[in-house]
Amino acid sequence: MASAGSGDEKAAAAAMITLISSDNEKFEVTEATATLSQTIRHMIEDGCTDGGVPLPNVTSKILARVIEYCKKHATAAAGEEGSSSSFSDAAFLEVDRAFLEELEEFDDAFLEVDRATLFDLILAANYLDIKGLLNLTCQKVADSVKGKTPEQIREMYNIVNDLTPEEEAEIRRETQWAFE
Amino acid sequence: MLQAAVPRRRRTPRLPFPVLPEELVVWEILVRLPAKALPRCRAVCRSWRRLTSTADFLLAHHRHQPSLPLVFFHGQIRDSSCNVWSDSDLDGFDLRGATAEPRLTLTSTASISGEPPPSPAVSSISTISVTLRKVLPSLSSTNVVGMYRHSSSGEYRILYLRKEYRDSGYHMLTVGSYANPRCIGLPAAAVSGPIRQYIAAGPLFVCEHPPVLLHSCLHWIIYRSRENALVVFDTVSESFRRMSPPVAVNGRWRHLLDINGALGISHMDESKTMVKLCVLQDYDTEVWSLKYQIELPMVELRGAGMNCRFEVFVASEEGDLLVFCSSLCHIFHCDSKGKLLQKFQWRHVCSKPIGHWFKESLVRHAFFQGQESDHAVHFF
Repeated sequence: MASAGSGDEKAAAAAMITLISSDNEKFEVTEATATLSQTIRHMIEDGCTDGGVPLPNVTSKILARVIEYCKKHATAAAGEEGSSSSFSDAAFLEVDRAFLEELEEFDDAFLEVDRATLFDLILAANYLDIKGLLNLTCQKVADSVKGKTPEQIREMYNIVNDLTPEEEAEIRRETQWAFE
Repeated sequence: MLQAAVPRRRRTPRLPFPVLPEELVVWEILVRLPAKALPRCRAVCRSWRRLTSTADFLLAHHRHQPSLPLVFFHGQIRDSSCNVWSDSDLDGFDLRGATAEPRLTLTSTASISGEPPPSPAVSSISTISVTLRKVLPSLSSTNVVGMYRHSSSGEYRILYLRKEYRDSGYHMLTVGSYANPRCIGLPAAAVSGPIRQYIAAGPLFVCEHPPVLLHSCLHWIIYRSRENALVVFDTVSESFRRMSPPVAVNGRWRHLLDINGALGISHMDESKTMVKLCVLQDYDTEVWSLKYQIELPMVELRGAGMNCRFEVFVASEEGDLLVFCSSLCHIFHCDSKGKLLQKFQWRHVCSKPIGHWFKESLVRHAFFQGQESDHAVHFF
């Protein structure tokens, strides 16, 4: 990942960034946490983070959750970097494994939210360009759609059916196996 | 702009429900659905139908699907969906599923007789087998190395080795073409040392450990050589070269696999209690790293009835293992922590992973266009 020398890395770890939510709440986070967001990473690279980073699309409630995710995953990423392994260091693999397990549990618990919050998290992850969080949240939504009928999906997401009965029948005919 | 979800604000005056832009719904959510759920989403509204039917979308959808190890079954198999008995079966083994048993659906008799496919997974394989039988000449008495898609022409080609007196060497055949197979010959003198003769002899154990296609190259292990080397066949330049596996990996019990787009090699040690999985981190400089070191749960395996010689197959990017006996009577599923998760056993049915993978797709393949078939739909 970041190929800076170890001195620079330490300095980066100590550097703090202020994130400002749409309702004007300020959050102090380490640069390592903030740069999980590609959007913020680019802002830092361009040197335009003095005085805080305004995030007009993200409320404090959602930003707090996003930061919680980033903090956890930034620690994991740091652990991973330290252990690029050769054959002998099985001990490192053990540590990795414990880390990954903990991370998985964290992710599962993190997703225990209502649908509106989940959607807000998706929007924030997309806006902030946090790949891992976007994958996690979108997979959760996809899993909830998986076994549903078209009617149930429309109901879940307030979608108006604009297909004609003929069109619907055509779709069913083309892909009958999916409706059985 | 079209919105995928139109909130009925009139009904929910308290809190406006967040609306996901259509691009996110389609390219981040619908793209993750299994093939069977996708047509149901097409029946939700017009824009979903249109956007999930484009070629770009279907390709992205295919890429998001998990790779399932294909397992070969042999014995008295009953297909519950169409009540047909058969003696062999091939199916994708979905390890993530909560079901205690893999589906046993595809029967070779059903696919040959052209009965309607009961599910997309089944139709895909049966359509392939029916189609391939039509477009392929007999490749018996030859050593098939692998099939690949030639990147610039889009043709599907088969690399095979002919060992006849007059016409020996590697040959390449284009699927569906009437042109004669083209001779590629043997490795050029640039490939030095004894490895040249091992390449010329062809890959071993292709049925169990087929060559792995990555970066437009086919990769296979030289098992016979003490030299500990991999062979790379570049499908673009149609040339061979040598690649070094990780230093500590040699012997019979190893195989190559595709780990999330990177070349992986699994290896069981001499004591046959430990499995290592290494991944090629840097393809060009040939730098490998150890990804998993898995101690097999020998006590549990013995306790669960595994008391014969066994082999291990790495069945997922997460380091899931399938442990199977040489007598082929059952398959054990262990995770990357060496924990025994499930035991699969079927009465009068033998099973064995075949080293190939199945990935769902709704892409309508040019490969099948124009091929006569009784099936209304084609999947690959």
